[in-house]
Formats: sequence, structure tokens, C-alpha cells
Amino acid sequence: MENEKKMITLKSSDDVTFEVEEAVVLESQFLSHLVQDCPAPEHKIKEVTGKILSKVVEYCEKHVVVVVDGGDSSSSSGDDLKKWDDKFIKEMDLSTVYDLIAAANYLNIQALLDLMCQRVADVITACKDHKEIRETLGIVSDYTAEEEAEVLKENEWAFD
Amino acid sequence: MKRIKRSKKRDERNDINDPFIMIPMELKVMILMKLPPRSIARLRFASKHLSSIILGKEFTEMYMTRSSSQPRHLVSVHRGSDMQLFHSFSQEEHSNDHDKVSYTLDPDVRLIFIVIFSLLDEVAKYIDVDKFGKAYKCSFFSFHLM
Repeated sequence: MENEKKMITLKSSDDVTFEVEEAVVLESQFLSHLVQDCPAPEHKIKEVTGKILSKVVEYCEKHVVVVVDGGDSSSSSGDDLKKWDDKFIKEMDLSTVYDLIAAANYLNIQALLDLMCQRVADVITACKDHKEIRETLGIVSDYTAEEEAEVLKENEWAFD
Repeated sequence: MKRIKRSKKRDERNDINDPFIMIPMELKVMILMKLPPRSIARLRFASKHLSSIILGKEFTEMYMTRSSSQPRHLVSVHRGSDMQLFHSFSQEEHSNDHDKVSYTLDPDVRLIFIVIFSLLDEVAKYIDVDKFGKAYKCSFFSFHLM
């Protein structure tokens, strides 16, 4: 029974298909409901592009494997998983991170959503001031020059 | 009402170039919740949009109570209805060198009241109230997690 793993095909908005084990799909709350309610062999996910879905699938496959295999040595596999997560996010640019946040939110994959939000938080934390935060995140300031000068002037005494 | 031309341009730019602003509010909050107080304070100056989220009552309360194991202080200084200072620090960050936190105020800044949110009752001892002088009317509020 174990050998006959049920496969499910996911199709992205731009028609890229991914064939994955059902266990992988179950990492997503949204997809597990979808698979239960509608037992078709193929599911189109209109909201997610192939590029992003490939990342989602990569993440879910890795996490499923580790959870299944990690029965005995859970702590070391937990460390490995963390290392894998670190590598996974380090290779990513911020726009991919944003897209993955949207995808993880839509597909309801809490661990992936957490990981991606943490990535953005780490990027912000590494910034030394508000200007660097703006540049790094691509935030467009809606302060006028006068307002900004005012806010900073009023607050400069408060911070080191 | 002022600088209409300029703010219109800014809005257009926001839509195209500001991916952060496009993130749904609850996810922005999720990211902000993961930030240390220092970064929260810096973010306030990045944009009015972020400032309004950070200074909002909902976020402030959530941020303050996010971890019961890590006491967190949030200090805000108001002048009239405008918040002039937002400062937050945790026990962890100031374990040894901050028995007392004091702000030296510009005498020109007319402070109407000071609100201190804290998970600890003894927060008053961290603040050198004398620095504010008698000209300022001070109010302290403490909130408890439990």
C-alpha cells in the first residue's frame, strides 16, 4: 500500500505542471481541502505562476521528506531542515520572497509563510536606518521633504 | 491639501514600485511582529503608511504582548494628539546598562503627556521623570499581560 503513492498534478497560472505526491500537497491547507473536495488528478492554481509554484513544491517536498524520515533522529533532521531553509531563502531575491508570501498565504502553508515573513524581517533588521530600509525594500516614502525633516528633527533627541 | 502635484506623483509611483505596500495588511503586520523594537522605530520614518500601522492601537497592543517571556516596554510621548516619540525596548537588549533610561528633552518641545506601556509594573523606575521637569504633565499607564 505504501508503495502506491497517490500522485497529483498541479498546474500553475502559466500552465507549468508539477507532479507531486499527495503527501506533498497536504502541506497546504488550501490544497488538501481542494483535493478532498474535488478528487481530480489535476488541479489548476490560477493565482500562482510556474516560477513561484516550483519554489512552493520544492519547499513542501523537502519538508514532507524530513518529517516522514525524521522519526528517530528528529533533532538532527530538524537542524538539517533549518539549514536547508536558510539556504532556500538566501538564494532568493526580495521580489520572489514577496511572491512566495502571497502564494503561501493563498495556499495556506503556514510554515512557508512564516519563513518568508522572517526573511523580510531579517532584511529590515539588518538595515541601519530608515533610508536603507527604503532602498532595500523599495518603499516609496509618502512623507514630503518638509514632513520628513520635521519628524526626524522632533525625534533626533530621543534616539542615540 | 498641500503639494497636490507632488503627492499625486508619489501615489503613482507607489503602485508600480513599492511591492511592500502591496502586501496585504495582515501579512505586513506578521512581518512587523518579527522585528526588534529598534527596527520598528526606524521603520516609522520610512513612510507615513508604515508609521500609521506602527502607531496604530491594534499593532501597538499586539506587539507589546507578543511574548510573555520577554518583557517589553513601549514608550510613546505625545504632544497634543500627535505622537512625537515612539520608543520600545526589551529587557533582553538592555540587560545591564539600562537600569534607568532617560531622555533629555529639548525645552522647546511642549509635551502634554507621556504614555508608558509596559508589561512590568515597575516601569516608572526605568524612566527619569525629573528630566521632564514640572512644566510637563506626565501620566503613566501600565498594562499587564496576565
